[in-house]
Amino acid sequence: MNPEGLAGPALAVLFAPLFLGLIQRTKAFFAGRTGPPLLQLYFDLGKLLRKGAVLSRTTTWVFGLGPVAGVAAVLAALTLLPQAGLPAAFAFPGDFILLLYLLGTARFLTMAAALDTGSSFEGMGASREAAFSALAEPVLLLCLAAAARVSGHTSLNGIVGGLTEADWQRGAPVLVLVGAAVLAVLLAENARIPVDDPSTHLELTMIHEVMVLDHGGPDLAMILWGAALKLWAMGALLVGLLLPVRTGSLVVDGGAFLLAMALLAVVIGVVESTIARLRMNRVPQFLVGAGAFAVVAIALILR
Amino acid sequence: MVLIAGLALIGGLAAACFVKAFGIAFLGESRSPQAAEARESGVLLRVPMTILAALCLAIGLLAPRLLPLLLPALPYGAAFPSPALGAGFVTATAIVTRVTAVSGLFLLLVLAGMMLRRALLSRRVVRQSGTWDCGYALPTPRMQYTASSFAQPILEVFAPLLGTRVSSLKPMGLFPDKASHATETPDSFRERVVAPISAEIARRVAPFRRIQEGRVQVYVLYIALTLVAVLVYQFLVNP
Repeated sequence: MNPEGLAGPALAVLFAPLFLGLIQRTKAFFAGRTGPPLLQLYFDLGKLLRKGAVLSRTTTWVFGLGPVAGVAAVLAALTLLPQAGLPAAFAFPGDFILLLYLLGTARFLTMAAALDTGSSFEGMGASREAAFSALAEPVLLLCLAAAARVSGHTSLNGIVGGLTEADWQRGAPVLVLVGAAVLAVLLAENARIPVDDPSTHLELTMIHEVMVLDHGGPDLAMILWGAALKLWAMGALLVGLLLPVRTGSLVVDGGAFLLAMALLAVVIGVVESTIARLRMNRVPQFLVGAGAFAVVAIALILR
Repeated sequence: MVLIAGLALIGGLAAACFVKAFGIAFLGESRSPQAAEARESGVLLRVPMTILAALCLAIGLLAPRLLPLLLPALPYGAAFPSPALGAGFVTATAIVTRVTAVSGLFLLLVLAGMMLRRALLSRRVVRQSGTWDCGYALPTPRMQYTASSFAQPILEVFAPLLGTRVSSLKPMGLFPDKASHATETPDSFRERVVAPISAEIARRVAPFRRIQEGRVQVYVLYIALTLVAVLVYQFLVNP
């Protein structure tokens, strides 16, 4: 284990809620509102953690496991992800597969917790999540495989943390395609527009939010925190792929990373403000389109 | 690359499949009167399952220790100790050690999270209530998602490959008295690949059925004849 790699997960724990705050403020700016404070999610989490809970009589311990496992899996996944110019805490050939499957485990347990309530709404959410994530997962894996070929490494430390300007000069088309596909997966997997609307109030149109309708109090806090961490993790992955600043100086690399993350939050906010969400039956096409980008990227490498 | 994409697709589909199998069968309200009557089985039935499950967990968590036990099974057919195999083994052990470390970290975090949740809720008001039903007055277990409804979005994506048969009776008129919906997804691989091949094999070997007589004496005679034939062959080939 690499002890300085623990700074990455700490960074995520500290800044992930701020990332969402920045998205909210961007959306508020476009809508001509003042918007919630940048630190709103921290306040929400504090409030929820101090609350009691109302549990459905149908639920079992599986219901409580979902939110906790969501946070735990993303925290474990963050130890595999190099961030801010620092190497990951754990690195080995093929570690990106473990990262994907940790996120998959979190999703599995969230879906199980949704089915545990016996609600038709939550069953619907779990069903949609299962279908769309089954399409999003291979896209992300193909993207990482393409980036692995460009960087010449098989560990995330090299794929995401070690892409240099020389790699960009050689494989710019590939990396641009990969970046676009990863951004699409990021939006789909984190319940953002155009796939899902995080601020909708109608159960029938939701995907991710509808799975967690029955969670409240500390459980809801875990879900919100887990979602923020997951968004941060995939954002850090995307920034690592697109930002080849490797000076070796912690201040420059870390500063560039945080600046790029802030920019990404603004980009997500702009996307959410300027385009409408897709009809539910268009979502598979959106994801298959992202998959086509990934396949073209791989074709460019193998050429 | 194709392998990786296939692996990833299978990963997502497997997760969907097992959520469906586990969630629909064991979670939520009982979906039939029989399921409502279900009782936990006896200790003798549960203990062996617990032991097997614990062994699965142990194999995962002790993988770095257990991997060397596989070493004797590896070198058949290869010259051992070959340096390539040895190096590969060292790499594999290093990878497995780290996978186990991260998985162990995940399990520890889950355990800590569950303890934190219990500690937080132990001092608070935790009320029991019905599942959120959107204000509907009479929710019944039949309104839950079924296995078919759960799988529907995935089936739709892969529809051209699956050939799902749908027999649906939509509610008609102002006072519909009946409606039904049933889907049946045939096992395409079995129907289009395995079944034709096995039918062909069955047709070819059908003539041999005649020698399948049923009397033990006849089978002993077959064995004797086979032995004699083998002996004769031995004498003719290398006397």
